[in-house]
Amino acid sequence: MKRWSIKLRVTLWFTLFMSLLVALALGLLFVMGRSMVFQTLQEDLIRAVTDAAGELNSRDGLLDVSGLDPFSDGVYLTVYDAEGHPLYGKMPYGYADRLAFQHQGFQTSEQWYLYDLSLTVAGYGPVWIRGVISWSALEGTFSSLYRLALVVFPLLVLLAALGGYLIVRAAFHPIRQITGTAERIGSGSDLTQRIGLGPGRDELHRLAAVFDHMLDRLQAAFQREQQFTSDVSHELRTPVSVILSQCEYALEREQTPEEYREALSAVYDQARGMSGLISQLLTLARADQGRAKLQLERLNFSELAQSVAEQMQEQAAAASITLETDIQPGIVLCGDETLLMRMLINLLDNGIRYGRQGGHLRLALSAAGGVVTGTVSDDGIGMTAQQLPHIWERFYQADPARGASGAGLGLAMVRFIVQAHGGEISVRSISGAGTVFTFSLPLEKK
Amino acid sequence: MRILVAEDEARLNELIVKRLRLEHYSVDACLNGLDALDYLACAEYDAIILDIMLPGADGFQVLRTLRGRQDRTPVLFLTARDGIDDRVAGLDAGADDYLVKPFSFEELLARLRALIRRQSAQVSNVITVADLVIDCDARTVSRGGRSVSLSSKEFSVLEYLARNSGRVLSRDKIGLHVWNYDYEGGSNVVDVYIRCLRRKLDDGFSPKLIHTVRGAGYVLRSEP
Repeated sequence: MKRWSIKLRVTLWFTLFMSLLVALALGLLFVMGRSMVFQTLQEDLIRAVTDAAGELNSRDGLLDVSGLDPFSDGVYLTVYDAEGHPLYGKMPYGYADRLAFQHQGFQTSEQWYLYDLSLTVAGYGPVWIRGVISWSALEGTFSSLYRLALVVFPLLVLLAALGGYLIVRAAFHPIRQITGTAERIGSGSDLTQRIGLGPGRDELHRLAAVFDHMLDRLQAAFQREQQFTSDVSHELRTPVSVILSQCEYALEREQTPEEYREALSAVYDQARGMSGLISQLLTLARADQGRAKLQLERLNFSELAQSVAEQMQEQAAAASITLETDIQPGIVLCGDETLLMRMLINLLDNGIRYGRQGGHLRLALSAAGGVVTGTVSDDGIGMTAQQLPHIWERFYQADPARGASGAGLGLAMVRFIVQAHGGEISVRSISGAGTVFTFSLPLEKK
Repeated sequence: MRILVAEDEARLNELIVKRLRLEHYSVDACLNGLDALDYLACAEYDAIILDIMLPGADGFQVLRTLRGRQDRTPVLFLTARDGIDDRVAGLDAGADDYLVKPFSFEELLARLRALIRRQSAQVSNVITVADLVIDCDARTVSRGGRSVSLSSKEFSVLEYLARNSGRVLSRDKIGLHVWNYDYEGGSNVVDVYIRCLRRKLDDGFSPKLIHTVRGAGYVLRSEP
């Protein structure tokens, strides 16, 4: 059973079912039809004979049969005298009248069916009336009807089976398309393939649409994956090539200790950068898999922000940027201290990197209604509307020339940290005028 | 304090890690000997909890490789074998202590504290630098008799500085010992923590205890 196609199984099932129904109908028709024919026959016979009895009169001592029709409704009628001699009537051809009379009794003779009635005609005397009806005549009509049914019913079954098969086949056609698409993707891993059944409201069209949607997302995910891999290799290639060339240069010939030291510290810097990149990637990968665990504790966020701002002061000053703070003191929240520090460092670092000489960078913090709201605003180069939606993407750099030291993971980290704390972050920017990041964090993580 | 746990029984591993994190240790964990060697090649640990029966490379091999590099990180052997020969072999191979399974976590933690204390040549778990008193068991700090409240990472940074008081520690070294692999290196997070510690421990006190050594790192000591 399992090896047959669903098409075959469905068709077979309702063909069998229909056949069974038809056989049942035919059997019922046969049994019921027969008994009904028999009953009608009896009723016709009784009625004809009784009617005839009512028509008999006497006139001047003689029997008057003028009102009697000897053949009505297929019933042959004969009137006999008391001794059994026929007086008047009609007998069917080939009927030999031999049976004794039975008052109000049915009898069968060959293909004939009889009914007798004894009565006394006033002014004449007793008579018998016998009605005869052909058994075969009636049965003939019935059996021809039955034969017709025997031919028509199986035809109906056949028609139903064929129709059902065609509908099932048409309904299953999309499945073949789905299977085909899946096979093509499976064999060539070409994710641009789609089932493309078009609009439709039935189950299979919906299934196909769902599949296509899934393929869209898969393709996008694969593309991101490829982009990501190429970005990572690019980001790693730069420091590795610096390390290689530094080593080659240092090994080429004898150097002074100072030159060795210089080469080593260049290698060290690059290696540190790579190490940082890898840790950030690890953290983000853990976040993607939902495995990132926060080490939550109650901490003074105001003091933390103040310390971060002081720490970043040096870097800001080196870029001739004034770093100001407007921090409401005493904000205590429940969070991961290292990650929150990381978030503020990344935001300020971003502001310094995309600031302008002599510009300003401002960190403001305030708490109200169980939520701490922070803004990091600068009057730097800003971003265009086209750049804005991409800034949270990994490795995205609005201006690669400026981000020589960062890998473009900073803001991706920031967003992950804010979201991991159950907060939100948004950005507004005007190209050439500056950028404002606004984040909000719940004081108590839900 | 950063601990490496190498134990192939996943549930026990998870349990030990959970327990250690509760005690504010930074923990990396792995399930086989080869991973353990990788971890040891990439980071510095304050102690290693090492199962003897490890797939890949067993505890003895890991230990030999470690000691072959003149690495003196304290190692606590975990063993299901109770034979005297095994204990002798373990200690002779360079392990600092051993614990037979099943063991109580309290004992594991106590032995770990002892190992770390011995490593840093401390007599007790209370470290005193001038009028700064650090109780590593209770994780409390007081300066000049006044108690100071620190966050758990602030305490970890201070504890590491205190256990190595007088030695100059680079940012990277502090980063490696205080955070596990979730820590993003090469950042100024350590600097920010030092800043926070100074604000709480040195501001308004004399002498200053946390010193910056330009180009080298930080040191905790009473003399300037």
